[in-house]
Amino acid sequence: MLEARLGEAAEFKKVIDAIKDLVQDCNFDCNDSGVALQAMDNSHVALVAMLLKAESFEPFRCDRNIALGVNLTSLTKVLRAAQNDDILTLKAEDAPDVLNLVFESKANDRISEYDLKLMDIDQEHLGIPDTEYAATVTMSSAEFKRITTDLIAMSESVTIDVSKDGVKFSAQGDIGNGSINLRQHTDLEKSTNSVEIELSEPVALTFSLKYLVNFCKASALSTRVKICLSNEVPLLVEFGLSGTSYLRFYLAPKIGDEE
Amino acid sequence: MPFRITTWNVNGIRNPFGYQPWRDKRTFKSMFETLEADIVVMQEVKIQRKDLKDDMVLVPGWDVYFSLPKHKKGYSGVAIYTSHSVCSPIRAEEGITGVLCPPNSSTKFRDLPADQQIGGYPQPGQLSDAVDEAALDSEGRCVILEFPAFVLIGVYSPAVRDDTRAEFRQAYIDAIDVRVRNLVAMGKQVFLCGDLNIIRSELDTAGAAEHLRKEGMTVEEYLSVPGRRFLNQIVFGGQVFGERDSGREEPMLWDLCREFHPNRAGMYTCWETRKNARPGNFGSRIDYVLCTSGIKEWFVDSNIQEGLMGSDHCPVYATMGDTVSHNGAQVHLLDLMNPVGMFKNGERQREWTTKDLLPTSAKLMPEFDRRRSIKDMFFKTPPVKPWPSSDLPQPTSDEPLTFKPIPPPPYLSPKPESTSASQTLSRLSTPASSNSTAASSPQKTSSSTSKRPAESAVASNRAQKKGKATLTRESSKSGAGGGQSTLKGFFKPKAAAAETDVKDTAKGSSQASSSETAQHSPNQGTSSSLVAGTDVESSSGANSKTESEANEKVHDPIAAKESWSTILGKRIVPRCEHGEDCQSLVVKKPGVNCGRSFFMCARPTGPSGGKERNTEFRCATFIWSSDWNGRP
Repeated sequence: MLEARLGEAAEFKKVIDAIKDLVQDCNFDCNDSGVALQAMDNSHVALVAMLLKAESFEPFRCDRNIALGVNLTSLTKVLRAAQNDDILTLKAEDAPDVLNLVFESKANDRISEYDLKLMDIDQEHLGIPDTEYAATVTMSSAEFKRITTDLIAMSESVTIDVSKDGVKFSAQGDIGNGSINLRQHTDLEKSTNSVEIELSEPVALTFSLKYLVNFCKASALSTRVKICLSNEVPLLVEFGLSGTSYLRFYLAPKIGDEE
Repeated sequence: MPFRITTWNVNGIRNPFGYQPWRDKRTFKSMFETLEADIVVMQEVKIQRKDLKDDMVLVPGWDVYFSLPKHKKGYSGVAIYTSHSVCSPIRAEEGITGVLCPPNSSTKFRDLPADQQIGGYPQPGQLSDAVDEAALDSEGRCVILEFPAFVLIGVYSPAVRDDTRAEFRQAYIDAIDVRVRNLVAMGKQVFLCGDLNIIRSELDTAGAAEHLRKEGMTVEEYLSVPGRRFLNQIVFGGQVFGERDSGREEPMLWDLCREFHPNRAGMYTCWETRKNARPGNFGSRIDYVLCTSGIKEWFVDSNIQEGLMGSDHCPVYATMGDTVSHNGAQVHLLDLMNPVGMFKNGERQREWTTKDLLPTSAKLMPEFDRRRSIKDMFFKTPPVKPWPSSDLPQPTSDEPLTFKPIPPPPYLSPKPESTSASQTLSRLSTPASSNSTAASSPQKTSSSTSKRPAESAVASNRAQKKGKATLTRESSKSGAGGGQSTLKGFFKPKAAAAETDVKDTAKGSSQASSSETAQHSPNQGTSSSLVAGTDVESSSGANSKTESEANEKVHDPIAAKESWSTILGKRIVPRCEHGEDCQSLVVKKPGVNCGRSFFMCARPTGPSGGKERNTEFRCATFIWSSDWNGRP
């Protein structure tokens, strides 16, 4: 039996919105620690890992491990019926055929309830090793979104170059090239605009911008974004959620020219 | 292993996946394996650049070259897939004339340095000025690959739909002719294949005799139509009437399929879908595999694969032997199908790498270039399955889960294996280890949320009510719908009511009034008699009114019902000679009868093309819809 209640539907709505273009069907793995999701996109280039920890819910109850196979397009349709400030409750039986969603309005006594049919999804699970990244950049998510949308106009791919001087995003395309340089700085007035860089060694990797732009749909979830890079390891783009819950995107870098 | 080149007009690159045997796997790799081909030339891929997907470009072990239309979207289009385990072209071009540019370049193929171009481009004066060269190559009709052995031209020649395109078609055919002859003049061997949209001779089409009779043509005239004349002049053994055209004095190509089956009738590669002509093999041969004399002896087989469904065309192939005679010596074919040095005596000397990709390869399009799978960068772990209780209906949980241990990629070596292993272990063991906490947590949660069940009960109650409300609404709706569908039934009760009315009046109003008072009296108590009396009067008055109205409006309810049923009822379709329902079609051919609908036998066209008597194919039944009164 799963019963998980979120004070505001907004966050869940945004999470699903951010990943629905990357992944069509996926399992929500529910256990007593929370609700987790891991899925690759069709071309196996990107991976989404979401964890909504039990403490993000009030209350949270999950007696057994339950895998909820959900079509995200369908879930989006149902979630469209929820107001952002509605109380959202997810419920499912132990071997469920449906996921039950209840939206309770705070303003009045309106309660809407939906049953979403579940699917059997055969999904590959990848073990994501804990990695010490060579470079970690923490910056404003809005700024990161702007960089990706600006550069996709120039090229299909972006090279992210982190050195002790700062982080450089550069793109070469048919019509020309462009780059954005950010230096490490601390914005005292507006801390969300700070750029923090932790670096053990300089890294330069190339990524498909299409995916990065896609990841940035999650920028509504968090004002800050953490970008972690290491050679020969997928890029990690992490958006913090309420509490210590997170939404992480991994992206395989493009194979280098030297190979 | 023989080496096979297959050409297939697929009529939409994904179209075959709707048919057996392609339907099961729906991957291009398995399709090519079924075709047993090493090079697959597809025409009419009908796809836009933006719709190219991973599964059609990143086919494991295969490289692909596309030519897609520049303006008309989702039309035409040629693709050549090559299996890089056995072949790897040394040059690749798009277009027949060489006016297009390689990707990310503004230098035309024909302007490239001599060692980078395939050559044989039409020289000034060789083509008429009727159609611009850039226009000829703007429709995605040609991909040319060069191997050390020969130049492979995959082409989709324009069809003869109507006269507006006749000029374009002729210009395109001329361009093919010029390019092939120029390449041969350079000393290169050519393998030309694809959908030429030309019937070579009367042996290559069904119903040729009837067609000639209808059009009032002689065989000579038939074979002298420009397209046919081109093909017969360029192939060895072609029938050319009169003087050969200048520049086309010599035949150049062998019609391989015909060479291996010189007298076979009914060897057709395309059948009209609209006429359902394939079952009766009423088709034409318009897809060809042609080659020059220097490599003709290399081919050991060529045939059509009329049994393979998936398009209105069938695949056509030509197969080469393992060893071929080249410059007077016996050479292993693979040595000639790959860049120099990759194979020696049929043994691979050097692995194929992404560096061997040519600039025109679709794999180098930015969106597919340098792609790496994230799967290779993480370990695979068993999926977190729900509690392995037997009552779970999921079939997958019942199956023994086998997981191949995957060796860690070398780049993760700084991370000791043990940590990842322990991580996966801990990941696996979380359900078990958290048992105790799980046991306690539900209590906690249930105690802290004592309200919760009640609330949910209320919710479910409401839901039930809602459910009922919707149910009743639905039922009322469906009731209305039912009323709608039984419009015919609407007349029945009315007619019956009218009859009873008639009976009532015949028997006199007294009986009716008494029954009515009997019904009313219990409710209305003491004053019933008075009220009843007035009631009777008014009701009988109403009765007579409706009666008279009904008599005025519906003179004959049965006739009305019948007239309705002729409008609403399903039309009775005439039967053909097979005793089966005919199909209804509309005349599309311009003329006096255009737009008229008619009935004809629904069976596929027979091998003779026309209407056949006493066979399993289409019979002679033909009835104009306007002549059909709906009664057999």
